[in-house]
Amino acid sequence: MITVEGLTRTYGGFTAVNDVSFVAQPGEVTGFLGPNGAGKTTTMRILAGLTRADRGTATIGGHEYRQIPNPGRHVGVLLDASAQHAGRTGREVLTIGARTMGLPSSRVDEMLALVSLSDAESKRRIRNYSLGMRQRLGIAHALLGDPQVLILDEPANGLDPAGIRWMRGLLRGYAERGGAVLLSSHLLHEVEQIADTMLVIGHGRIVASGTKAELLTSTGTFARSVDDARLAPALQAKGLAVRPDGKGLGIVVDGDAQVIGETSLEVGVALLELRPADGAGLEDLFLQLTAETQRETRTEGVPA
Amino acid sequence: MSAPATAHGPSTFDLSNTPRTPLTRLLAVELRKLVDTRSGRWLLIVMGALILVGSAIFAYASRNGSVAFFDFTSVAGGVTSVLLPVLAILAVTSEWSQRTNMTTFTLEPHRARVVVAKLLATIIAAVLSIVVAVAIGAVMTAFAGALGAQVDWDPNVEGLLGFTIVQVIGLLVGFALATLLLNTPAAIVVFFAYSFVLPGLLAIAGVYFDWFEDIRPWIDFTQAQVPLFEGFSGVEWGHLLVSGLIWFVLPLTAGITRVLRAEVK
Repeated sequence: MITVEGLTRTYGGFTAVNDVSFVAQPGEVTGFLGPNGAGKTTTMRILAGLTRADRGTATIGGHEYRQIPNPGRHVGVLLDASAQHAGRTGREVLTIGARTMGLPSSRVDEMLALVSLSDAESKRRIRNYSLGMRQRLGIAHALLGDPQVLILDEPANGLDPAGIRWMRGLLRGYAERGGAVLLSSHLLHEVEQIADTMLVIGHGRIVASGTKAELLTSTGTFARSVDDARLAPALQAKGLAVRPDGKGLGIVVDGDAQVIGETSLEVGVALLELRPADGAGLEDLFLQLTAETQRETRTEGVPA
Repeated sequence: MSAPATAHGPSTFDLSNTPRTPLTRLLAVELRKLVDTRSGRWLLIVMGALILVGSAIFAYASRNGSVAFFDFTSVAGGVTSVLLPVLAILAVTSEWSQRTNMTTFTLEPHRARVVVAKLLATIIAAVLSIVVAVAIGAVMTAFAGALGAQVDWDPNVEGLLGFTIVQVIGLLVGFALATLLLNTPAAIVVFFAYSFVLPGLLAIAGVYFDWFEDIRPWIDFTQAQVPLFEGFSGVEWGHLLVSGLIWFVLPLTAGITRVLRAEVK
């Protein structure tokens, strides 16, 4: 439903999105996961026709967004729930959307009910809304035109756990009826709860993609030695990828036990532990894949 | 959900049943946006109140003399020439300062259509404001008559038309500057500089430089509009067109280009 191919966007010398390709299928919730500044929002903005791509294509339902007439009837977009006029009421925001799309005003009431904004709340000005209420309003706005595709940037941001559960149910039902959802988050547990398929992005590149099960399958060998700092470069010199295990205990090597054992012998670093890597929790995976884009150097045992 | 009936339904859109959003609908929405916030509504209320109070004072002050119905346009003009351009500027720049343009341009990706709808909406608002101002003028003419003034009811249709066009032109310049600057304070400051400071500067420059006095009519848009009240000679049409090109067409063209290209954040 959403097809992105070779998408690239640079700002001056900074490459925000670098050769990104993926597909989001109808009937699925596709999670777009990455740390802040990884390129999620830029990708979504290009999808919604707000930013031009330097290279590559982004189509929804086989069409470039700009070519879709009355696009709100086909694609529901929520890019920033706070980007609304502070002086308008929630109801007025939905009314403007409904009028633009040519929908009856009864649709506004339906959507308010769907996202559980009460009549009194809908008549309050948005400057008095909590972030969670703004997100609900934004989701209501995205769903106004009964679209086949939803593009939601950080929709769970500001929702409490009950709100996240509600949204999961809403999006799950939407996908089961055949809709396609692309939803981004920088928080792993949100995506883990909601998405069927995941795209992990870091530094503007897709670094991993697949179903939750696929991403959880472990690869590589865990090694712990008396001096990992000496062992790791020696392994890398043999062309093997080495990464921290994410727990600060040792290293994970894309290679089998034999080559690691031989290498440790060559460099004279005694091995303390050598075994297949743990079935990485998604959290580890996320941290590993995006380690180089993290601003903070992680301290042991503190999950992001 | 309408189209995809099954999980893994069709992955392309059938667009044949979706007509593009008609301009009339965009226009109706933009008109609504002019009045659905406190700032927009109050701007119009203040404008009406100022015209009402100003006209009442004028009528009362004229109670012992004579007063013409058309005189009230100059009272109204003092208010509308300042506030109508502000209305036009806010219609454009508030979308950028409040970041509602993200929603607006997502629902209508052809941004030029949104700009056209906004332009038409502000012109309609201006014409309606002037109708109200003229109605207030009529009431106040009667009021002055009741107080004992000698009343001249000549409607001066040509003058009213000229007045309306001048007000709309002022609004258009404000609108054009707003699309160019996309920033409320900057657009308002530049507009007032254009409106109140520039004509004086041009006049002074004309005094000091003879060569400038010759080209001044071609670039002084305010001066070029004066014949709208009195009728044009051939060369004066030229002055209006050339100075209008400089102060309206050029900034609006550059402004629309900017709006079309701008990154909406």
